[in-house]
Amino acid sequence: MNSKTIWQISLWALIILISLPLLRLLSAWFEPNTEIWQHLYDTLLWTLVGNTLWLLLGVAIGVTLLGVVMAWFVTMCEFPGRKWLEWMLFLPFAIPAYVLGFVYLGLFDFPGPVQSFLRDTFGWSGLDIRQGSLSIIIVMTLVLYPYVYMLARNAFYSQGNGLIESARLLGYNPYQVLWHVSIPLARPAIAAGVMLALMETLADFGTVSIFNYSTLTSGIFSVWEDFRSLQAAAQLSTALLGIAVLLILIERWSRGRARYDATKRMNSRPYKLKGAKAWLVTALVSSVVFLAFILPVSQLLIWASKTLVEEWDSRYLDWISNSFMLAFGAALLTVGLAVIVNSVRMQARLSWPLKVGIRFANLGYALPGSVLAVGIMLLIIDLGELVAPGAGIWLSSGVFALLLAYMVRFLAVAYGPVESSFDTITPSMTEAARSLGASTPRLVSDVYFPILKPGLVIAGFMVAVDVMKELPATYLLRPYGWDTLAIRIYELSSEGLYDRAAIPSLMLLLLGLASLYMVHLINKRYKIRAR
Amino acid sequence: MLKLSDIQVVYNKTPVLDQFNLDIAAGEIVGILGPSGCGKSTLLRAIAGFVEIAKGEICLNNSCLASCQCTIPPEKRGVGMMFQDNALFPHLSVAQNIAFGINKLSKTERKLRVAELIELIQLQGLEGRYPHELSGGQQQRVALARALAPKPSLILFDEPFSNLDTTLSEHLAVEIRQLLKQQNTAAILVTHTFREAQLMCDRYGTLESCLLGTMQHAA
Repeated sequence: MNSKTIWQISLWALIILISLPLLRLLSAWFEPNTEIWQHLYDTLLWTLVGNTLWLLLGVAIGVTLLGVVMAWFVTMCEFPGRKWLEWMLFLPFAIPAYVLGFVYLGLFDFPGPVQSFLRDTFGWSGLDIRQGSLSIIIVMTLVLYPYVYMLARNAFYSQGNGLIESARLLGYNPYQVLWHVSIPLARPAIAAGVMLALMETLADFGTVSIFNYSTLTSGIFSVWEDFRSLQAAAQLSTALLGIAVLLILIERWSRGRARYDATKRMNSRPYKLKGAKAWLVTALVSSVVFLAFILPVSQLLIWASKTLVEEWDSRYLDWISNSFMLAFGAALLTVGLAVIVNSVRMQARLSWPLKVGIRFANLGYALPGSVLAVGIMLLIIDLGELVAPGAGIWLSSGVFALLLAYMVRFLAVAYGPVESSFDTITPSMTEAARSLGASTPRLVSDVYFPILKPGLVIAGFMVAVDVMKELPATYLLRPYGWDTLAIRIYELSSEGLYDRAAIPSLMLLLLGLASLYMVHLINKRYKIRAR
Repeated sequence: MLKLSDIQVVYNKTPVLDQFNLDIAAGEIVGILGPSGCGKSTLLRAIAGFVEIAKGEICLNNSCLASCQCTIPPEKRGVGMMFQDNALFPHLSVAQNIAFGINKLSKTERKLRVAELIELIQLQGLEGRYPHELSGGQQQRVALARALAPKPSLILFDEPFSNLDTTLSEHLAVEIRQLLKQQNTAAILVTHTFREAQLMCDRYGTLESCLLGTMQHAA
């Protein structure tokens, strides 16, 4: 057996491993638990589906508006403070949605400082912000708009000045340029950003449960906790999965045949705003940064300073190290998997079943953590029963299940940067190294590895941040006693202990910001070289 | 010095090259002309070792590089190659790129050789730059220096000027010829531009004329 066959076989094994939880989930329909399902159908199901769709619609509109408008301002207009605001708009990436959720609840709910102030000064009667879906849509929008902002910003930059200049010479005003040139060209990027934001919304468990808003994701938990029925949970999961697949199809369809290979760079901002107009834009952009980052972080700091003595204990060291170990392990495994897939891709043209398999494996990002957790639990129990009675329980209580869940869920996160760094290695580079006498080990250590390294490190950081923030899968699959920072935040905030939850939240935030900064540094250092 | 006898290369069951013969003397520069897709590049890749030959024999300096019995891997052939896109390593500086193939020399020897080549290609002062910080012509010269560094007796040029404008490519063709002659390195140039072959080579012709042995000699 030559080395190519070995690579291909191991790739197949990994793809199957990744796809199994999903397949196991779908097979739950062959063992229907009709009673519970009928009960769900009669009572909850349609409320859950309706709530979920309503939330998705609201977040889609919110993130599109906020993301596109912010991206357009920072790329097309010159206004005071633009440079600072341009990168500060990325900061909400580091805040988990459930953290912003409980901070906003603490600030704006009935007993919170804002409503108390209004009550005392103006005799305001008060408002229950947990009612309805508006407040949760606002929170989700503020946390998730960076996806759209990031992709739209890149797309606007790569359109270059020429198109905008010609549109202006043809008599288009700024709004017409935005509407008729910039947005149509950036549409695939915007759609991709909205889609990422919606996947996160669909997967969210922490925020919706803090706001007592029942969606399919939180429904899965209730079914699991109230009925102890994995089958019913799995069946409910497939409904969630259906929506995820629908979203992917809509995104594909909206992209159509559009492939815009714009690789130009914007070298100056077309609209230099002056006077009141410029300051108005500054105020608008700053208010987004304020609401999505400065306000919540300040509130967290205030809370933390009050409760540090009370809340801090040595268990935090365990939680931090658990968070770290899981993040590090998952990053290593996931990046490793992405490297294996790409090595096979580089060695030979892939057969179509392999291509489909890789696509399928990358779908894990669309799998909400809760769905995945249910799939993995079912799978492991089956596998365990095959080996020895009781072995499944033992397996499912180990870190193995959790790491597998992270790998499935975040492969797509690692795959992007790893794939694009593999694409910078041209076949002629390999041949040049060979003709200069480089053996295979030297080729790998002196050519491939240094070229791939920045991409691998970035992929690792991105996975690690996502793993540290991840809540639903961690909550369901963590081994007994393996609490993490995210779990601690969830436990404290679901009991309304917001001021104490501020401490683990800030730790998570700090880790997230540090990783974001590392990615930025690596990008800056290597972007210039690899072109 | 280089002797190709009755070479056949098969790709997807159809022979791309058949019964091909070519003899090149030490230090001689040979140009092979022809439209794209006629097998010129395949010929170079067979000599370099990236493509296996189905029949015939390739000998360099009286040792066999490839035949039906043996195939020496490209990294052990000691044949230099220049690529269309230059294939410079983006993560290495000019000096590091040039030194890539002479890592077995001692540190001082390596430094001397790099300095010598930098002088030869007249890029003094740019040793620390990265490939993307160089112009197209400069990149080409670095690629040449990198190929020359291990002192191969033969360098293969695969359409080296296709990404450059006419003035620059004609200028470089003359310059590279001088450099090769100084080092007494033999070369095969594959191109579709008659003028380049005329400027750079001692002898040139189409693939068919190689078969027939009717190559022209440059003035």
